[in-house]
Amino acid sequence: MTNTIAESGASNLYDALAEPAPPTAEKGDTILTAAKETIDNDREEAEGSVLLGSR
Amino acid sequence: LVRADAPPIIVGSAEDEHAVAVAAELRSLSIEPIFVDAAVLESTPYSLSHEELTLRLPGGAVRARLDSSSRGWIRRLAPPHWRRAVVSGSRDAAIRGAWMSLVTAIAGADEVRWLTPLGRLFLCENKVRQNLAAERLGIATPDSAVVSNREYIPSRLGDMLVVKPLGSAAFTDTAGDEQVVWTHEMTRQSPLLDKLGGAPFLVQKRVRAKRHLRVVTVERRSWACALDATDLPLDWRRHDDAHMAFVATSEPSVEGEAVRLAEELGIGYSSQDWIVSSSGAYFLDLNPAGQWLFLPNAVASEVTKAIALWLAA
Repeated sequence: MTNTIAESGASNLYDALAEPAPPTAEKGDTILTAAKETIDNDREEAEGSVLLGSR
Repeated sequence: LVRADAPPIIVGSAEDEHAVAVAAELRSLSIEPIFVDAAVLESTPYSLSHEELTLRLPGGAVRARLDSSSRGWIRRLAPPHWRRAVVSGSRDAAIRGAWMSLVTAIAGADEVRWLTPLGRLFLCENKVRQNLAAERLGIATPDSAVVSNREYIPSRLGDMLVVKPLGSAAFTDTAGDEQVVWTHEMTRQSPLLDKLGGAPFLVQKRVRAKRHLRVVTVERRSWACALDATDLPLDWRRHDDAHMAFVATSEPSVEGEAVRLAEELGIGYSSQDWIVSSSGAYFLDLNPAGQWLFLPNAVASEVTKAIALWLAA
């Protein structure tokens, strides 16, 4: 199946290809990634604080 | 067997069906695991001091030792959607980060023997790292590349390409609805490839599958289940029925390679996707914290038991 339904104006493939998720999608499998993003964000913010001299 | 003062640690929710299944198996061995995740910590009086975590549950206090006497399995750091809608840099993000720091202080305890250590879980979610590990071992994978511009897609990938997200394939949109990005097939001429620069996606050579394999590994054991690719879309997960159509199979070569790959990556559990084409078997990707209970019961129960026995050892 070749995709021909690109969302016009999308600037990336997430916007172009995303579809509503069915109930069977392995949603829970993403929580580790989400948690990692949280940790990464927190670390970047902490490092940013250090660079800015706020602590 | 397990010391009474060092119960197995399950990082996950007591409502997660996979964690529940492993806990039931442990209880059949008269072992009561301790559940802990961000949501448990948020809702339970607790103390963490030196190497001891105490949760003061309604039925009484339970304790876990974060030292070499304990074994643990990291299923999920937090339940799906736990404090998810938080603006980066906000007060709520700081609070969420504090809870996450606490749960990772537990799940990241080096002294505990984890089925898969937290750091390996994070690193090995990465499809590029997985492919490189497979290549080091001489395991066949579809030729692939990650590129910012379509002109950098290597010609050796051919004209029919497979494109899949390098990051999470699922997200919640601004309206709060769950979205998913399936693996897509497209030609090299597709205008969609103009958007590669907006977010990294893995571009692969198209390999036609005759069968899909889901291979699960626990330490040095592995199980393979097969799904006939006939009449299925490229990404079988699009078809609800396909989840329940896997049948247990025997693929000794693939099962052995799957164990080798998991060992190379340093992960005690993996849920791997392979395809069998007319030219042989190819490793596609793996999830170091993927699901297995949708597989036929004969396999699912063996996987559950293997994790429980490892925790009980």
